Amino acid sequence: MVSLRRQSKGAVGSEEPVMPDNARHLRSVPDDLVAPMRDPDVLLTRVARGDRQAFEALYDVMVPQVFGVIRRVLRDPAQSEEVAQDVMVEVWRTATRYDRNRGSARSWMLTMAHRRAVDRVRSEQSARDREDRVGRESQDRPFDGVTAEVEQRFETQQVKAALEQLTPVQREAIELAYYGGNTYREVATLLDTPLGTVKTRMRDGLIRLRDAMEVDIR
Amino acid sequence: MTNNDMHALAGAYVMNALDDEEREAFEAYMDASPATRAEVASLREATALLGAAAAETPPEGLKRAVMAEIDTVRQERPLVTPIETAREAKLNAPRGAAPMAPSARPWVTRAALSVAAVAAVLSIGLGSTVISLSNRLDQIERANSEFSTVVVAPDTVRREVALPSGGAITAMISDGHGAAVAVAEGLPALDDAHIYALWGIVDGTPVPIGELHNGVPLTVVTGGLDALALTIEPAGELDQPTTTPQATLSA
Repeated sequence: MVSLRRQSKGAVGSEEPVMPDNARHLRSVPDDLVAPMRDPDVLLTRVARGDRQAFEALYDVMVPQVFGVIRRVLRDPAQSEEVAQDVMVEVWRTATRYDRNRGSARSWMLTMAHRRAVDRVRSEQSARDREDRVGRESQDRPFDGVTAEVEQRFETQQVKAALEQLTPVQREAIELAYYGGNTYREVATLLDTPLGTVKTRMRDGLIRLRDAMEVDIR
Repeated sequence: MTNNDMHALAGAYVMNALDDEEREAFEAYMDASPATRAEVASLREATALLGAAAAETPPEGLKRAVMAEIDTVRQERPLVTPIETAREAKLNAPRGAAPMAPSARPWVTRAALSVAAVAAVLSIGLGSTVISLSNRLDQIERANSEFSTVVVAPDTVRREVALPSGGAITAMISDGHGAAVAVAEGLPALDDAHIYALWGIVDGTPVPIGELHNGVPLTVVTGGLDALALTIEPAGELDQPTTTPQATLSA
């Protein structure tokens, strides 16, 4: 898990405090003050104790990603805003259930956001004619378009470098599933590729991303 | 579907790309497979990278709406073992083999696993309580080395206190990781109407951790942990201690 690894390297490797990349430019503020105020793991732990100020800081750090994930899946800005609000309130409500030992605050929050968005998409879809669904989706969600959008919004060079580790077919499968909100069965249909191949591409691709993160994130 | 086929679904699972039926089947499989659980956790971190790549500034009004709404929303109680499931934890207590992890009570199972890891790592020279645990649990420690790296932190302190009525509690507390584990030994048996209840004192307020049985470790993960306290309580679900602590272990 990234957060755990980061902590241990910080403790063993050097005396420099562990600090998220996006805080590095704040040189005038002592590092030991900056890090906890920007570290989602620390902030979420404080939120769990009812700390409203920590929640506000967590909101500022995380909401672009939370909203971005939801909007990527749902497309519609008004619906995305509504779901993002639900998710952030849910973060406040259930922060007491977050367990640092099971993963980073970021993945906890983004998993929640993504799941909510996907649930919304699927409940809407199930109300429509399922026969018609896959065909229409292949028109609505061209994966090459998704790729272009992603490339414009790379948060950091590290994210970009990690995504570049994916082969084109892994990337295609992951984008259709994660950003498109499709099940792997739907992805297999969209790509006219066997199910087993699709699920292997997804898993292998995520393993590559994970390994790239381990190399790149300190 | 073979086990290998199931394991290969980990990628689709963390991207919410399984339908409901498949997700339930995968979660059941995952509960019985520590390797799959570990992989799922690591792949979830990878999906967070996909989230970072999607970052986008939300509309102005969203923050105001969220901050206003949380003022009306009550937070859930902290992550603790409900008293009634602590009894099940005893039934699940490891006996030399890794216990299965029924999804209905993941926290309780993890409590047992995590202490197993800590106990095994710290067993050398740390007293008979821990050594006897480690003998039973070192197999689980291997499946759970990740947690051990967290709790066996440089700032982990060990506290031990003997009870006036007999028995002792040993706790290991890592302030930096906001985690504590506690195990009891030799507590006198109580009648059926009473239990030993372990509490975390978080920012001065007691929060229930669970029912403490001899040899069955309990753990709590929370920031701001000042101390652990043991009380004897009437059996049943409790929010607050109703009696004076028998023992207190400060962080």
